[in-house]
Amino acid sequence: MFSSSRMLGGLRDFAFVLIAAMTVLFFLLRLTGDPALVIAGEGASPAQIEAIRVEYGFDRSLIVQYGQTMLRLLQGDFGKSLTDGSPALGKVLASLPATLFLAAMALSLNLLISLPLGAWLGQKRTGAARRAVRGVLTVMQGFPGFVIALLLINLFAAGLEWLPSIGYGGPATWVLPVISVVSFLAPKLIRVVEANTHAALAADFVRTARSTGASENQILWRHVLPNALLGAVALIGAELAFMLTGLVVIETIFAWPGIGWLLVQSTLNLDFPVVQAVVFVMVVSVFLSNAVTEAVQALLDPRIRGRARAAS
Amino acid sequence: MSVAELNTAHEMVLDIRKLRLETVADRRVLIPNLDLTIRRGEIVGLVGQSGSGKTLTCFAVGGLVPQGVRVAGGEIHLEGRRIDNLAEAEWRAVRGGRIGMVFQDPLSSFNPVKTVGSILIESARRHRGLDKAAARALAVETLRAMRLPGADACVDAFPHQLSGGQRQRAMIGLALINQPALILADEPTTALDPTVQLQILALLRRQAQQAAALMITHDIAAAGAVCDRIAVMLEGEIVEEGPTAQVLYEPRHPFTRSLRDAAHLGRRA
Amino acid sequence: MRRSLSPAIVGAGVVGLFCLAVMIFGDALSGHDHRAIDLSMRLAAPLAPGHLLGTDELGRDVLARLLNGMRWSVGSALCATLIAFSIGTTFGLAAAHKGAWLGGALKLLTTFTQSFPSFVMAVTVIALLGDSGFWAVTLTLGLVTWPVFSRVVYAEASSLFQREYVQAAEMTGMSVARLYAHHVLPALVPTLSVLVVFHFAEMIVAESALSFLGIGAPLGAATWGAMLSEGRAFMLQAPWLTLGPAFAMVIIIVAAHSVGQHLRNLTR
Repeated sequence: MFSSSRMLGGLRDFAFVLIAAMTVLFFLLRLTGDPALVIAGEGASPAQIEAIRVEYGFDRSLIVQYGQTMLRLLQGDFGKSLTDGSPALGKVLASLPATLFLAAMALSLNLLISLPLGAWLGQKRTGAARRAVRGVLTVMQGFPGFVIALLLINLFAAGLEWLPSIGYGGPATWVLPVISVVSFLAPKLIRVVEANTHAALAADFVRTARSTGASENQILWRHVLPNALLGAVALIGAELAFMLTGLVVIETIFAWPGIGWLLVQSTLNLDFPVVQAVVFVMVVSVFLSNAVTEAVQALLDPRIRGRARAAS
Repeated sequence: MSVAELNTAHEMVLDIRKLRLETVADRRVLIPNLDLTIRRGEIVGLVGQSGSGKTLTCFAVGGLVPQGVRVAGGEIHLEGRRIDNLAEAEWRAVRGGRIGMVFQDPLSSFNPVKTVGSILIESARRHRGLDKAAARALAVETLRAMRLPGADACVDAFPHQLSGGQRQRAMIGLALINQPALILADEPTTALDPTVQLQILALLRRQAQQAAALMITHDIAAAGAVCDRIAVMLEGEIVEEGPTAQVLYEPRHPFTRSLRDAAHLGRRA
Repeated sequence: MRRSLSPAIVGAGVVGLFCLAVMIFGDALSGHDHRAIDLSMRLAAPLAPGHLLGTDELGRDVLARLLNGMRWSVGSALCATLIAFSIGTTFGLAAAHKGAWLGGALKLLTTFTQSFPSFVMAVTVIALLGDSGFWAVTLTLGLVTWPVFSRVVYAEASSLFQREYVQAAEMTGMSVARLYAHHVLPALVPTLSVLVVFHFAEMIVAESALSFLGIGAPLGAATWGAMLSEGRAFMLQAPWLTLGPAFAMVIIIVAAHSVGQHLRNLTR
């Protein structure tokens, strides 16, 4: 199903992005000032700072330090967190499940709402209901995700006190974060499914199906929707990749202990090893997510299957 | 060129009387007054340029007029039964069952994510009440009758895996699988290579002789190769109609003459 | 040609004009200095005397702070978009015209930015740089998002340079400047204008998100993001503290989206 040349290309891109990201990060970290100062903390004497500098190797040339860091990364050594001394990579991996969980729930809810709604909008082209829904969607797209989160908290947590506003615990804590994420991802997906459905309905193969006496229902379910949904897989994949890395603000608002939240915390605390580890894990996640998306596309679309087979 | 069997019963399969098509929005007349009949075993060609209304007529017979167009007058009879005023549910029994359609572009006319056989099977199950296995067997047999090599594999193939000629054979098979009384073919060979065109036309002629067929085309030579009678359309009206030989070699209307000359037909030796 | 002015466009126009007024006059439009602390009027509800939208926990006029925040956000977003547009378009054009290694470099860069969401990058960069301030945020946002422009420009310009009329013009010895001015850039305007508008909207969100996180605007600055962050603590007692900046943001973004959508429809 996957041609070897394509996989090699993908791996090469992955390696490139990873190395580039780690390099940029390394020089950024060095630019932000003296890491020895950060590690030593406030009120440390110059002697202590100097000792730390030697211990961590900050006194060597930049190039040597870069080489050392890269070598260590290659061996999987991400160092220890500067805030609590725990292994940096471990800390990041411990936060990953929270983000994965949020992403999975949001993705499921998104699909549940957007697919039917988009398909409905795609085939019902007139009517007040349609105009109303599209109007709501337009307005919703104007709301940034974190604004929606704050407004929801305002209403449901602070105001009505129906739901907790922070933390990751029982189902009650999932509601607001998931809804926040879904409400800014859904409008785009709905629009795409709508456009695909509308295009599929006008396609020639629908005319063929009609000429065999298929009912509108049968046409919609058997012929139109498979095509429309296929086109949406790319966007769904992109949204998944985004959720794995981009829920920074939402996680912060809800104190949801995921990797976005960890990124903010560690960058504000100048906890370099953790920042490095977070970025690393994010890049890996994105590539994995993209690979899965492509696999799903190949699975569902016979045209891609055929092409891949021909190319390998 | 006519091979109509004169001793078969001259049943009227298709009878179009005074058909009138208008646009819905501004009631602009597209086809003012069209009469056409097709008997069993006959292949009639409707020839004209784009915009002449030939495709519209074909779709009207199939109950597939596009959104902005409506049938404003006249009657269409199929096998003695009036069909232009059928309810949608009744139409669905006719389409695919009594009328089979062949479309112009076989690549876009098949669903790219479904096998070619799936729609044949769907149609067979719908109109004949067959179960999956029986319908599949019928699909294979139909494709074999269309002279498709490896019919069994073709049923499970996707449209992009077949050549243009193979796809069109499959499309004709789809039109014929329920042994309809009437075949409507809209520019069936326009999208194909010239060499393949001849094969498909021959196939159509063979198959259509069991039933009746209306072939839409802008190519009067193609019509000449297949049809028993030709009707020439110009701006929504039939300006000339008659047996093929007569229309091709002794055209009466200047437009027919220009079509024929453009196709290099009927030049005196 | 029948011109249809949908209410959305009219609304966007009004918003735009208002923005312009704010950019010029700032918080003077509200009659208050946004920094003026008045501890006797803390957390006043909207429609309090002299304070149309109420006051925050230090007695500062909310409307004044909103207007200042608009200056900051809109100003930052505009500049960031300008920076991203300039760099991206230049790079994209150069890569499309001269090809060779530039095109390859561009492709690599595109892969990089697609794998590493710009916001995360912006957060990392600015937080690590520690330096917060208008230009730190603006420059970072511009520098982190320009690949969007170069990708689009590269794709469109590549096909343009292969068109016969452009090649013909080049062969007549036209100067590069003329070639670009008369043939290339005008053809890119439709796509670029839509992109610019939507990018601007994204920058508004990004800047607000950054200052909300405390990364970006200096402490005490009256930006929408900061106001949202400060207002969180008082959600129950003073919801207007968060609602004000929230809706201000939404109005600007929806206005920008309307303009962008309108442009998209025009150029289709």
